[in-house]
This record gives sequence, structure tokens and C-alpha cells, in this order.
Amino acid sequence: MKAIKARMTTAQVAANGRAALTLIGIGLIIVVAASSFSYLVFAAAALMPTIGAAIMERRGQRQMAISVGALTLATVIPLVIGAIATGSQRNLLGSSTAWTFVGLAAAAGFAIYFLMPVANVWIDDMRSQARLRALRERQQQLEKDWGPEVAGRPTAAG
Amino acid sequence: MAFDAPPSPERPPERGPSGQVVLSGQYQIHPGEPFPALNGKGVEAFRAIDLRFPAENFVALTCTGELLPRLETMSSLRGLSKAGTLALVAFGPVDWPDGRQRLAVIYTAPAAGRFALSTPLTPFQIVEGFLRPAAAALHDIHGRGAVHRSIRPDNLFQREGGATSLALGPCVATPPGYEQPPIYEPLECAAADPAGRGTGTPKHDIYALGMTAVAMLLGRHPGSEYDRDALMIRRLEHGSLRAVVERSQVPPELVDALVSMTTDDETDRWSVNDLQKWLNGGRPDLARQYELPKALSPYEIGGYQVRSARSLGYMLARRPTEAPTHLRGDALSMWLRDYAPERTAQAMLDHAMLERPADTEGGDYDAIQTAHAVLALDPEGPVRYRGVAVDPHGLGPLMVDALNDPDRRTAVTGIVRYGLLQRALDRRLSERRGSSRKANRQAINFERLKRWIVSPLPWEGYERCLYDINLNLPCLSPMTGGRWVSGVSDLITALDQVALGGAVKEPTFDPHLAAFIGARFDTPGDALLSLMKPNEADDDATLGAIRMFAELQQTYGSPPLRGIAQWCGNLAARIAGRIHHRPSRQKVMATIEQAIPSGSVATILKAIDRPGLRQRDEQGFALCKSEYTRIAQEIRAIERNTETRRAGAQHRGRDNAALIASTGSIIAAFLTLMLDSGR
Repeated sequence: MKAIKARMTTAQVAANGRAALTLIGIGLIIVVAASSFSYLVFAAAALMPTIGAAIMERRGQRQMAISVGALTLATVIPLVIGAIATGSQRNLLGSSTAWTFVGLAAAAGFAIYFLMPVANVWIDDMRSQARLRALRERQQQLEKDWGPEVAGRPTAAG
Repeated sequence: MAFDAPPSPERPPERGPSGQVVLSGQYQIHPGEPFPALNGKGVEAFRAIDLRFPAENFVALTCTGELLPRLETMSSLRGLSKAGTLALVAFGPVDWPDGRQRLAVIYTAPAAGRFALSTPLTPFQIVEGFLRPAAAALHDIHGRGAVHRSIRPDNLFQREGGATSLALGPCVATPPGYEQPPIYEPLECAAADPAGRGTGTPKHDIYALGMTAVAMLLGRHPGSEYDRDALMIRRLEHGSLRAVVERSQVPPELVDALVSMTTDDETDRWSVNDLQKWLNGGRPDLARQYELPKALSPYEIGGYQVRSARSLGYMLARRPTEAPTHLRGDALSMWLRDYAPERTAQAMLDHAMLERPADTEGGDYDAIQTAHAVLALDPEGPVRYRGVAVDPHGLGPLMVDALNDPDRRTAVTGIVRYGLLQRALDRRLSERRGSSRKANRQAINFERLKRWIVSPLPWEGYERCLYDINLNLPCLSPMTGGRWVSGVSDLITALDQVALGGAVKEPTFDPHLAAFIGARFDTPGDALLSLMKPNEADDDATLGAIRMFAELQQTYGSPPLRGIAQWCGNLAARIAGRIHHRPSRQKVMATIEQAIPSGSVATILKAIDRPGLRQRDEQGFALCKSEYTRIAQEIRAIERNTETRRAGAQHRGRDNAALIASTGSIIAAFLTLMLDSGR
């Protein structure tokens, strides 16, 4: 009963979390739109790579979207908030600097997403090779100490 | 008195073995100068001198090994110096020119050859020249716990030149009674094989003395006019003395002595004290003289007519192929019932015929029946089976004599196996068997011999019985290198020499060697087996063998035994070779190699017999073997699952990417703020 109650609580929490994030997102959109509609357009345009990543990814997977989205948001939000803080005078849509930051962030996100698996595989391969080497060395030491019989082979005659 | 021609003391060396042979560093034996007067079966006599007193003459009797000499009697008689006997001065093994060892016995050399029966002697000559000195000698011999058992006319000598008395000749180089013609043996062992007559008692000597005196009286061997069987039948039916001499032929002054000395009833027979009393004019109790009852009608068997159950038993044994027919027929039982003077003979025979050992083999049935029948008819006689006749106390020397004759060996095996010896003892008069404690000891010994003789184990069998019952029998194994090995200390010295020779790399004991060690030194059977078949022995047995050598070495003063150490090193190396752990194996091997030159078997044993070594080695090996297997499985798993592993790594990489990007977003936000605000 307690486990069932716990699972239900976790699902509820997840649902509540998603609901909260949605509310926050809607709140942010309203705030940005209230300050300058162009900023909202800028943000939407900046998030296009993220949306594209989300669409490209398989159902149930979010790693590419998170990688790209996290870094993109990390540049968009400071830019938009910075612009709002300076009285909404800045033209973000026309700012090459802003687009540079956003572009670099998205690129970094994509790079991280594509390079990390390769690096992981390489590291894992290295570890496996090292493990195999250690295991084989141990076997050789065992044979040296205990003879080929330890490997189930007969002793050499003579 | 007449003697054979004496040997010339200055005889030039003859062809034959040359070289000098020395006993105890004192007596030099001359193999090139035979002394034929004292030769016999299994005995070669040679001239000898005392290196301290070269002028004195001695004779060395050398035992060639065919027969078992009487070592205990040699010990008892050494140093006895009496006019009535040749003096035994020394004995021991000597290195013979043929490279082997012989047992040599040194006697004072007689002045003349053997006494020869030719003309009859007078009673005075017999008494003063023979009986008196012989009785004095026998008094001392018996006093030393020994029995002569070789008193007969041709074993008498003149001790010194010009002596008027005779001296008893040697008696130790052959088994007791071995060379005695049957007439000089009492009835109870006269029918036994020469080697199986048993040690006997002092009264055996008195009998032989008396019968020798009869021979001197007659000037010939008593009963020489009869063949063997006829003489024996006469003795059984008339008594030994009456069988060979008429009362009228015996001078009155000797009749009491001769009757009392040669009576067939041992309890009635004189002792040496009685004889000396008579010789000194006293009047000892005389033996009863009585006529033995005989059947009115004889029974015919083997061409002879017998008139008593005892003589019938004797002839049944002498005709083993005919005996079963007689025993199964009615004529014999009818004769026993109607004519035999022994009233209980029929009943005893019937009872004996019904008995049969449980393990009787088919081919032995008739022989066992005959043996039982003979014992029933003649319970005081020897055991007789398949043509072999043995007194229960004469089994030891007979086993030696029969060793190399397959038929006799088989017969002796049957005698022991079917309990015939114990049966014979059970049927004898209790006073002849001594105390009940002795009887129990005998019963235990025969049972043990019976168990061994049928044993299939290679260290038991005939050889084990041989060495158990003959405490002084030297080891007859060829591995002794021809040395006279009578004890375990001699054995290990001999084996050490063989091992040092290098021809034998590993101890591969034959049954003689294994049985000798088993009899003389309490050794477990599997240790002996490992020495007989080292390739088939397990580690425990091999270790037992090494331990045995270590104990032997320690028991006899720990002399260095480099040859045996090499053997034991080879055996230990076998065990060490089975140690799984290579560094431990090498360490043990190195210790063994270092110990071998020292000749210490105990050091080798210590190197290989470490407490817990084998157990730890086995446990360690088992652990490492399972570890090796586990490692192999893990290697296979890693190699087999490469693609799966990589796929997993990629998936984790993507997850990591999201995490890193999320973490990196903080840095990105910070950088954006810094750089954008600084613009």
C-alpha cells in the first residue's frame, strides 16, 4: 500500500512538475511578450535548433534537445533579460552579437551531443582493453605459478 | 679305532678360489686348501689359521646358502672347549673370492679324518673312548641351552693326535638332524624330511648317542641290512633298539645304558645326567622294557606287511598315490577294527576322514585325507603331505630347503594352509607340547603363517612366512649383492652399496626383500608395495617407504647412506613433482638435492613431509584453477559483448552529453552575461 502510494506520489510529482514548468514557461512568454514582441520572436527563432533537435530525436529521447536547448537557453535568457533590463531598446533580432552567442551555444550543444558518445565509446574501449590485458597477465602468472594444469591442460612430458 | 685319511697340512693350493679370506680380523681362511673330511651338503670346509698363533690348525666350515645354518646354536657353543667335542671358536660372514659373502664357522681342526665304522669296538672302548667324553661335552652343550643333533659315527673325530677318545664333530652348519641317517633320529622325527626334523630336545642327542654306540658295537650302521621302509616298520613295531640288534648281541655291561638311551618313549629315556650317573657307577632309573603289541594278521601295503596302526600310517604316507584307494576301501577299516593293536585307531581314523578344511581346493582333497589319516594313525609322527614330512618345530628349515623346488614348495604351502601342523600338535601328548601358554603362542603363530601363505599381497606369501619363522635366515634377495644379510642393519648397508653401484636407480624390491623387511622391521604394507612397484604407489605409500628408511637409518646409529639417500631422493622427487605450486616444488626439489649428498634420509623426509603442505597445495590449486576459469569466462564475455558494450557506451554518452550541456549552460549563461555586458 505504501509502495503503491509512493508510486502514485512520484507520478503526481512528475505531473505537477511538468505543470509547474508549463506555467512558468507561459509566465515567461507573457512577460517577454509584454516587454517586446520582437524579443519573443528572437527567443522563438533562437530555439528553432532545439525544436529541430527535438523533432529529429526518437520518441522518448531528449538528450539532443536538452544538450542544444540548455546551452541555447543559457544564452537567450541572459540576452533577453539583459535587453529588457535596459528598457527594451535593444534590437536583438538585428544583433549579430546576439545571434553569434545563440549560434555558438546551439553549435556547442550539437557538438557535445555528437562527440560525447564517441568519447564514451573510446574510453570504454580503453578500459576494456586494459581489463583484458590485466586478466591475461593474471592468467599467465597463474600458469607460471601452478603449471598448465591450472588451465586444464596436461603437464608437458619429461 | 679307524679314521678316514687326514688331510695333509702342507697341501699345496689347489685350483679353485684363490685369495685370502679373514674372519674377525683374526682367522685367515684358505679357499685354496679344502678340508674334505668336513664337507657336506651346503657346506664347504677349508683350512684356516689364527693369525696370532699360526701354528695352530683350524678348519673353516663355509655355508654356501643352500641350507639354513644354526646361528643361535653357534652363539651358544662358541668358546666351548671340551675333550668330547671339536671347539667352535668363531663365526661370521666373510667376503669370498667369488664376490659374495658366506657364513664361516671356525673349528679347531681334528687331528684325523672322520671316524670310520669298520671293526666292532669293545664295550670299554665305547664307554671310555666315546660315551664318557661325549656325555661330558653334551652336559655343557645342553647346559648352554643347545642341542647337538648331529651325533652319528661319521661325525666323530680325533681331537688331538694320539688321543684315545672321540670328539663330537660340528653340528651348526646345517639344520638340526639334517645329515642324520634316520636310524640315528628318534622315531617321532625319523620319518621327517632331513630339513624338517625340528630342533629337538637333549633327549634326541641321548638317543643318537645310544644308537651310535650300537653302531660301534656292531661295526656297521644299525639296520643297514634293511631298506628304509622295512627298517622304519621294524622300529615302529618292535622298538628302535630291538629292530636293529638282538638282545644277545648287546654285552651285559652296556644293555641297561643302551636300552635306556634308545627307548622310543622320550619320557623314559635317559638324560645326560642319568648317563653320567651310570658312567660314574651310579644306578639311574632304567627305561621300561616291553614288547610292543602287534597285529596277528598283517595288512599289506606298498609291498610291505604292517602290523600296527603307526606302521600303517607310515606306509600310507610313503605311498601317497596308493593311499586314497586304501582309505576308501573296506579292507583297511576292517583290519583296523579286527586286528590293529591300537584299539582306538579305527575310531580316530573315521573321525579324521570326516574332517576337511573349508578352503580345500579340489585337487588337494585326497592328499588332505591321507594327511589326516596318517596323523590319526601315528599322532606322534611328523606331518606328512604330498610326499613332504615335517615335524611342526622343523617347519622353518624345511621352508628354506623347499624354496627352490616348486613341488615341495607347493606341498609345504598346503601343510601350512590346511592347518596340518596345529592339528599334529593338538593330537600329541600334552607333556610334549609344554605349557599351555606355549601352546597358545604356537597356535597364534601357525594361524598367522596360514594367513600369510595364502595372501595375494606381494609382500606376504611364502617368503613372509619364511622370514618370520626363521629369525636368523639371511635375506635371499639378489638385491643384497651376495652379502650375508641377517639383520636389517646389514640389509641397509647392503642396499646402500647396491644403490651406490648405480645399476639400480630406484628401489624395486622383490618379494624376498619386502618380506624380509616386513618380518624384521614393522613396516606398513603399502610402504613395502611402493618399494616393490614405485610407479603404482600413491604419495602416502611412497612417503611411508621413505619414512621406513629414515627410521631404519636412525635405529642403527644414523650412518650416512648416500646410495639409499639417492633412492629416497628419487622417490621424494616423484612426490615433489606432484606439487602443483611451482615455486614450492622447486624449493622442495632444491632441498632434496642438497640433502642427498649428506646421506641423511631423515633430511630428505623432512624436506618432503611438511605438515599441511599437500593440503595447502591442493587447496591453493583448486582456488587458482577456479580463478583461472573465471578469468577465462570474463575474457570471453568481454570479447563477445563488444558491440553491446559500445552501444551502451554510446547511449551513456548521449546521456552524459545532456548532463554536460546542462552543466555547461551555467557557464554559457555567465559568459553571455559577461561578454554581452562588456560590449
